[in-house]
Amino acid sequence: MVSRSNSPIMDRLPLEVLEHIFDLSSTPSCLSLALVSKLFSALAIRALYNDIALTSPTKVILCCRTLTSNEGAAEAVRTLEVTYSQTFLAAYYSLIEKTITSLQNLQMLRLFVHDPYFENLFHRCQLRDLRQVECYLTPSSHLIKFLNRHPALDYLQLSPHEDTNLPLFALDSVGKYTHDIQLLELPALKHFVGNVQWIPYLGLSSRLKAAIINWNAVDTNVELAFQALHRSSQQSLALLCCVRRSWNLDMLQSISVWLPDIQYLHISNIMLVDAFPTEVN
Amino acid sequence: MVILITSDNVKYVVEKDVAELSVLVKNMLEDIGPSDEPIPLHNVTSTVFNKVLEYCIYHRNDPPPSDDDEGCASPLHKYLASHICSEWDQRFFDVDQALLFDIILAANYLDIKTLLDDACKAVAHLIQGKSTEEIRGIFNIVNDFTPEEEARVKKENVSS
Repeated sequence: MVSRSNSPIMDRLPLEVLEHIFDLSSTPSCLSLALVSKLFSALAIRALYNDIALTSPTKVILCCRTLTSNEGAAEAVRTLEVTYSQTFLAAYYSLIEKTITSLQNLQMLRLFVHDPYFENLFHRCQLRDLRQVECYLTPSSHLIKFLNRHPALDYLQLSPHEDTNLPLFALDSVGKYTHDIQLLELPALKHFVGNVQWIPYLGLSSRLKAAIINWNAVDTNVELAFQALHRSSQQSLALLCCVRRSWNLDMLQSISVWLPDIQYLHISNIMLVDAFPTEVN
Repeated sequence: MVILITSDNVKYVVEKDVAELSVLVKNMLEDIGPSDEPIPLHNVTSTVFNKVLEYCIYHRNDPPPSDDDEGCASPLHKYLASHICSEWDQRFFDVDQALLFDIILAANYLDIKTLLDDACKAVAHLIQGKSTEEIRGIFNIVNDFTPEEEARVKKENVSS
């Protein structure tokens, strides 16, 4: 290595440098790299499967088959994102469940699917490195149990839409919720995104740094959410985004009372809360 | 001023803040304390070091790279990291492949993270749009797949 030697570059290039080049390469490049040699294939698979976004059921099935049969690929996954809409047969879900359970190094799980059956995927699985969960699910008992098995979670996004089957929550005179709910126990949670209806589920265990809250179509008392955040996160909350109909003057008033220390406040005034998001395939 | 000597015995007198962009040199300077002793760079030739020095002088006032990206591996981050490159950098890395790889090896040895990153981006750019056979040419690699294995890899990775 003293002079510009003629020995092949591969004998001189440290593996971690090669890995770095692969990480910086585009997906089409990685697909070509995977066919170069066995070593390149192993490295390209790590780069390719690190961050997976699946946008159709066909892709979900193909990718799940690969992940459940190829251990190297499954170990490489850090982020899994699923986006489409439709519902399917049971075998489809059990394939996904089997896959998620096999992703032992997963850190980020994004399920942007309006499919309530997805909550059944979480019966048993436990992913030791999971830090971020984003989905359109509502806090069912399965989901809450699953989330509570991951006390290191830092970022949680739940459905922006209310569940009209759930009772509207309220506080009684001593500051307790009038309905018994199963609480989330996520001491490391710093970021929360979702409908205002889920705020009570956070209980007092989390010290949030940032919250993005959508309000119901059927309006509830704005005071309650801020009161709840005041009790759990008054010291830590720096950023608050609110998405709600109307002019929101009552909201400003209430925020200034309960959360006077926040540093960033963003209020969106929306008109079409009731509209379900358009499907993108 | 710091005196550096490359493997082919060429002596360089370099300003301290430029030399210290190399973590290797910085650590060595801290270890030996104030001294006029030249620092030998065993693994770098003057041809390659000229390029490294050119880069370090141009980027001497850049803010240091932060290690703290709070696990931000978003596709946008990845895209920005692999695409944003100044015109100067593009011209700088417009060199023959052998020299580009030598710069990478030197940056890795001298521990200059930004140069290593940028040079790796340049290689990623070089690979972009190339066929598997062309990539084998760049890295000088022999295909060690059996036809069955090759077919399996092709099939598996279609979906990603």
